[in-house]
Amino acid sequence: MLRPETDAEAAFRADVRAFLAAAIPDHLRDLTFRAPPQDCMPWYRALSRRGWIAPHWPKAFGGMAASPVEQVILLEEMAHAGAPDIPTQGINHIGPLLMHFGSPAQQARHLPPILAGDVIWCQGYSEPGAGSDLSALRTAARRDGDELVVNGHKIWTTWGHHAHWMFALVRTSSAGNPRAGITFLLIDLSSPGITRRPIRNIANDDEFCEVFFDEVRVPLENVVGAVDDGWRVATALLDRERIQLGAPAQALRALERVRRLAPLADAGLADRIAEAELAVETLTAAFLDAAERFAAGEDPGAESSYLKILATETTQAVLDIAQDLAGPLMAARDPVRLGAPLVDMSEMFLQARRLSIYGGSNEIQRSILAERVLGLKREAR
Amino acid sequence: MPSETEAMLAAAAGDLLDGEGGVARARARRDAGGGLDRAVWSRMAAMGWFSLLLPEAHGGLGLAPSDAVDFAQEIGARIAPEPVVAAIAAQPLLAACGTPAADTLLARAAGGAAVICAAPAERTDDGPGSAFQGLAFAPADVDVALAFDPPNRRLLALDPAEARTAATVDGGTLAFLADGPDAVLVAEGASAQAAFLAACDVQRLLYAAELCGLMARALDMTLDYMRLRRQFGQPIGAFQALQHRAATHFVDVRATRALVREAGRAFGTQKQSGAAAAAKAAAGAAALRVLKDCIQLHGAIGFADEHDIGLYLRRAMVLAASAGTPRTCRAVFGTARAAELDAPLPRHAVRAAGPDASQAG
Repeated sequence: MLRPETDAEAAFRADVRAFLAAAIPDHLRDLTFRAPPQDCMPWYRALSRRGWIAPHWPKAFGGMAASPVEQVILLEEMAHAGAPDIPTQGINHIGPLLMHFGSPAQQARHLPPILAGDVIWCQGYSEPGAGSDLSALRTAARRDGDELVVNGHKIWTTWGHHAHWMFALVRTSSAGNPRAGITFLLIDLSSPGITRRPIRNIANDDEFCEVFFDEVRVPLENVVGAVDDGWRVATALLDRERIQLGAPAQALRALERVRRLAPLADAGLADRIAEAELAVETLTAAFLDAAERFAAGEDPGAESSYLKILATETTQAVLDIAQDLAGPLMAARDPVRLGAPLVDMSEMFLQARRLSIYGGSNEIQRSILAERVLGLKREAR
Repeated sequence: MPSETEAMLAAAAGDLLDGEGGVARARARRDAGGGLDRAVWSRMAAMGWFSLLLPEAHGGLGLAPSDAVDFAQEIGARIAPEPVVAAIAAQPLLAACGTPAADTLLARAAGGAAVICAAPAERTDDGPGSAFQGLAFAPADVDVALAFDPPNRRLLALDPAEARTAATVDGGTLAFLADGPDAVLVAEGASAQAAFLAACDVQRLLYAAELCGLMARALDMTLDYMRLRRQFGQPIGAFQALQHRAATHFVDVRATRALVREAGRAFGTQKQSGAAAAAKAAAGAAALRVLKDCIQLHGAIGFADEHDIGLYLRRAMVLAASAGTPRTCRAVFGTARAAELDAPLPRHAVRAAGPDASQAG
């Protein structure tokens, strides 16, 4: 961060640093991938006990109500300490969504287990025939008494095979506008009729999977908002969520890799290192700017699409620089121990390919910006 | 978010420059072969522009550099050809010197003389006869340029008219300042050096802001063109290949502006020089990226001198080269950042193994 810290912020940083130094178990430090639940959830729960699992959640829902600067301090220190990556679908996606659209009963049932780390969530949006064109989704739910019966197929579901619950978009009506017949549904993944199959990704990791639904019965009380009103529920919060997608979490982890490679790199690469530092400072400034405007009551609107593009492409650009620094080791599959620190060579670079694809591909984000913010529109012929 | 003072200053800057003729002035000066418009300069002086950062005790407004960021953006948006930023940096520098020579220059500046702070030359190690030899670069069409002579730690007042010059692509003239018999010693020693370096930081921040204003306006002009220009029965802005590039530039403009604002907050702290260099490095590089594509998106008319977008590219080139190119500023920022990381506090015990790693390669 370029801005000076207040005494309270500096004290917070010292607290975070001391906690991370003592609390991260050795086998979880410096991992280059997201460890499976049995390894990473104890860490999630440790952060939860310390009160730091939900920095951006309001106090009323058990969050930390941290300022944007405090959020950045947490991210900087976690990256620096090599803290393990944790699942964020609960904290960053369904949690905030339920705060705004969930019934009091849904909030009481689902928010505390997210905070405590007792329940892992996944997102059921994409389907084989519905990626960027999400409203083409076909997984259907038909009404049967006080239940919805779900049939269909979700895919690219990050941590779908580890999750306990899924928040999904399902088709409840096929009449009229394709967006009008979609319902937002919370699905208990232990329900009968669900089959999950992990999919290996290009980093040789089973991070995502496909999920099949065969006559899966979901009580109507698990609908968020109203039946057929799911598109609005899913998209209304996207602008705010994109602020979290713009947090420099991944970019700082990538930068840490550059910093560890820096002492080993050719002196001629100093400019590339400065470029990486500058790119992450730029992202951090953009995140602080957006989060502070939002905290002051400004509506981020579609403009926040720019943060998703910036955060993901900054991370990728920093990892390009790391590849440059790694030299001939850039293709090494496994992390290499150089002196004491374990330095990842290729895994983060490969894992980062997903960043510009998920959460609405960066091409979709650019189209949103062009059409809604920049006033560049197609004309009807 | 800008305060009321910042917003008022910025609005006043826009009003004055629009009233003087806006972008057309940049073209007119270029066509006239350069030169400082003394009438406009004195109206800027009368509005207090050059004493924004001068302490109140010296008759200035006593503002912080960050208060002038929006103001400088408005100047950049209209590609005003005057060396406003260098003049803003000069007055607090003179006030900090506190010598009789500095006081005399400050009085001249208050009377409307064009006194500016030059930026250090980047390649002083070049051999004799090099065009880059000398102490500093500065716009040539001013009365006095303040330059620093590092080996002797002397702040000198020089007359750019005596210096070797080169025309710049925006219609201005750049002087390569060198020590000589006409140089006037303004101040010397460590405090003069510190004041000069602080004035360079101010220039980097405000040039970065000027570049932000410039690229934001150039992008707006380009978006207007993309909405109006029709080919294949559609506005060219309807084509996705072009839409996505425009969106990329929007990201660049927004993010750079956020960084420059953030850098302003570091002034007055130990992070000042690194932050100012970061801002200038990012803004110089981003402005050139954006402006090159603004030309491309305008097609042939963008390459034609008659269209103003070319004036924006050329002004961006001059501003990107002023007070530190992107590469120079990245090096300054990189060095400052490395020092921060090496400081005992940021690296906790777990990372104490770092030095081993440096020997292991």
